[in-house]
Amino acid sequence: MDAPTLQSEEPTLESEDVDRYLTFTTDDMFYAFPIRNVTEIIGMQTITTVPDVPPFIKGVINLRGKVIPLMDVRLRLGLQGVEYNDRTCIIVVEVTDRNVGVIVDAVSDVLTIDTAQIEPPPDYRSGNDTHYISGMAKREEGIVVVLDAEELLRISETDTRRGAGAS
Amino acid sequence: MDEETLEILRDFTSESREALDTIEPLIIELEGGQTENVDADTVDAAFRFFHSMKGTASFLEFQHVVELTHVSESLLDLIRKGVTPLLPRHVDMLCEALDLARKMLDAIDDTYTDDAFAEPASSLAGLLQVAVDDAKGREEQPSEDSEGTMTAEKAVDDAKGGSDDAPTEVNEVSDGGRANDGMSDFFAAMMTPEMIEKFRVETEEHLDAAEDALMKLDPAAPDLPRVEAAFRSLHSVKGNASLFGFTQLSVAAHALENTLDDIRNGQLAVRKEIIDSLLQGVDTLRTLLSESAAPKTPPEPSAEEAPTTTTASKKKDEPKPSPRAGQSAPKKQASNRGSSIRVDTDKLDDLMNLVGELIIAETTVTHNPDLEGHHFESFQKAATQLNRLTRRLQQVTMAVRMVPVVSTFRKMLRLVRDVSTKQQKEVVLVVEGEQTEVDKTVIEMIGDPLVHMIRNAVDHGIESPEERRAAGKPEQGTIRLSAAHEGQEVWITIKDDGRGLSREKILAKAVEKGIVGPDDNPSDAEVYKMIFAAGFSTAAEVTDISGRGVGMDVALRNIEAMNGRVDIHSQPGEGSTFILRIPLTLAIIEGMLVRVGPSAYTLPLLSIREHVRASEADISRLPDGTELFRLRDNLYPIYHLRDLYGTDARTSIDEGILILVCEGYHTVCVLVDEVIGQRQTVIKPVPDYLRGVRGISGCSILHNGEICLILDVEGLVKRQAMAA
Repeated sequence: MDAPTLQSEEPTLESEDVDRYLTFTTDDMFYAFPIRNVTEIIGMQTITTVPDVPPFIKGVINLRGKVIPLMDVRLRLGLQGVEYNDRTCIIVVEVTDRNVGVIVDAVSDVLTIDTAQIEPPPDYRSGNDTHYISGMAKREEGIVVVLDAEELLRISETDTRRGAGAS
Repeated sequence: MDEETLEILRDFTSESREALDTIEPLIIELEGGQTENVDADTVDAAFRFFHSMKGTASFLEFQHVVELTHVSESLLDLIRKGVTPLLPRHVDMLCEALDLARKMLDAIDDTYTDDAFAEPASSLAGLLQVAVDDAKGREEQPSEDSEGTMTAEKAVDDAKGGSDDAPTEVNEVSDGGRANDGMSDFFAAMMTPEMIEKFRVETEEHLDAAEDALMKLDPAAPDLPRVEAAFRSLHSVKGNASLFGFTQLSVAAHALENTLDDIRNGQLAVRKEIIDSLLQGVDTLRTLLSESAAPKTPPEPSAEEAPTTTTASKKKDEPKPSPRAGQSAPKKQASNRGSSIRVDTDKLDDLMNLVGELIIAETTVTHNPDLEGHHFESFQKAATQLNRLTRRLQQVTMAVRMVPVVSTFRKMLRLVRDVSTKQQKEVVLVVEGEQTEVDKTVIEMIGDPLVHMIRNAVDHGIESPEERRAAGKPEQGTIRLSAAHEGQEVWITIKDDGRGLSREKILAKAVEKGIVGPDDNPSDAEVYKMIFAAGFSTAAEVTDISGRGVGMDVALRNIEAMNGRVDIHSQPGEGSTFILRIPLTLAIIEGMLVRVGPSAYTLPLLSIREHVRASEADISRLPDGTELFRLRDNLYPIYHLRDLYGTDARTSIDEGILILVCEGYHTVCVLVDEVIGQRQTVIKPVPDYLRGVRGISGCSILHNGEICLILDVEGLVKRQAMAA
């Protein structure tokens, strides 16, 4: 059931992964996680829903005996949710010893992006919505939005309350 | 700071901390005994503790620790020699010294220095010094005796600590008499054979290094770095040896070290003879090491072994320690040593997790859906065998994690003493069943609640001596702290013979706080439980000990976090009893597996009273939509589990099953679609990422790999109560 993991494909990238990124697509936009945060990529699993959580937390899954929460990145980014299909993937991200599964439309590639190519997000003042974007990179394929995994996975009190209110 | 020093430092702090925990109850016990007839073993043990700590601290150059431990040691020495009886204020000071030492150890762990404690250490040391001087003044003669018999090492440390009138020349003391016997028993009792073996190997390496450096030392052109290297090696040997309680080795290494120090400072010219004798000294150390690194410490050396001059160090190979006589560490610490090893708790947690996963994996295999409809005879046999082994493995793993409550209970002795002294009450704590074993996580979590509840018992439960006398009770109050296994739970009971809980006072306060309405008539158990509410205190006055109403709610929260509960019994005038009922292990729960729609849930069996099929006829509806179920003349609110998500259509009552769950003094009915059966489940925590989820206390994994949420009955009941 598990898709092959990135680690097993490229066991030697340890030392040079600082500027390597795993990209995925959502609504024709490219997003990227620093590869050091990515543990593995798996296909869609049976989700057990959990009450009282923000809407973008879809529930928990059993990852080889470990219970990990799942976040729908579309809902997290404020986009419209879509039905999951067979291209839907879960990127298991590890941040500060915690594993969280991030549901994305499809995984595309591992890119090497020079740190110098990454520009800060266009407008810092526009509010909270960009705090999980660490920068943008211009590539031939288009703009890649580099996400700050730690910020993206942080659930604030307001998110929780919003979730609780909605239910 | 190099790796090696860091290692010594860590050993120092962890060993000292462990010794602190052992020594504290001993000191408090001392006080409980007749002051005239102090238990000599205990004083010795306490003395040795401070002494060893001082030795290592002085090597590691924690001068404030040295300062503190030195005076404490001096005081204990006087007590030990009978110069002064043990006075209550001595115990106070020693306890304070232990507390301060603990803080210093923490600081040393974090910052590698004790500089932050210069002031408290010297002020407390000053107080202790006054006590020492007092004691000496009391009986001039014996005090001089005591100095005469000081050990060489002690004298050296005394000199370092800049103490009063201790002799500063090591030689003087060496003539003075035999070194102190059994100096190292206490620490030796702490050592596992593995640690001693490690020490032996390390010391051998140091000695090799020292020898190497000395051999290459050319008298014609003395090479200071070499001298330094030899000095450092011997210095490490000394420190390690004194940490491990090999006083003899440490004293000898110290002598060599002093010589090298003289050379280093240019006070002594390097001559061939000196190098020769130094090398001989290293050989002697080797001999001593091979003899002492046997599991027990060898007898102490005779005094002439310890002089500082090189000439004397030549003689060191002469005295051969006689075969060790029965060295008895204080019996209290000696039990079970040697047959156990220390294991990092992380490893235990890993092991537990793996076993949990193994059990899940096992059921996934043996109950695999692919097997359905088939009958494989030999597979079944193999599966049964596998099942038996995994269960056994699970039991053993559980047993490994079980530790006796003794150390936690012992800490309470100190607490009761401190609090009762402050309150000017006489309270004795009687501890029973301290060998009862519970899961180590439980031990970690039970400490705080116990502190709060015992503090509360002393503060609010036990009356003042006058009050007690007036009530015809003995002036001394008694608190009984006991632990025992009851089925799948461990019961920790705190029973005091104080005034008992006052229903009227609590109720009045509860009405004032708006916890209950003025016309409510809750049962006694309900009333008693209110003392756990946040901000609840019936104490007329807020003391610095308790009465602010924080604490008890924390206690309850901790206990509930362990799936435990508290039963309270109280008799006005006769005292109250708190029973903490905690599951033996936090990792497994006996549960009822139920299904609601597509999802499965587990309800803890402990909270289930019964389950019934109900029909619409038994249901009454309130105007606000609350449904009440009538059973044997009682009405219980119904909770639709589907409401947890707010969206799904409700199960009709005719089709579902009502499960009566009770929590505290509330009972509600939970409506589920189907009861699947009773299961023992391995609890996995809800990922802390989702912390604060209401109504769910954990997860477990079913044999088909699906996750099943464990319902938090209390949360549900509260939710229902809030909604109602």
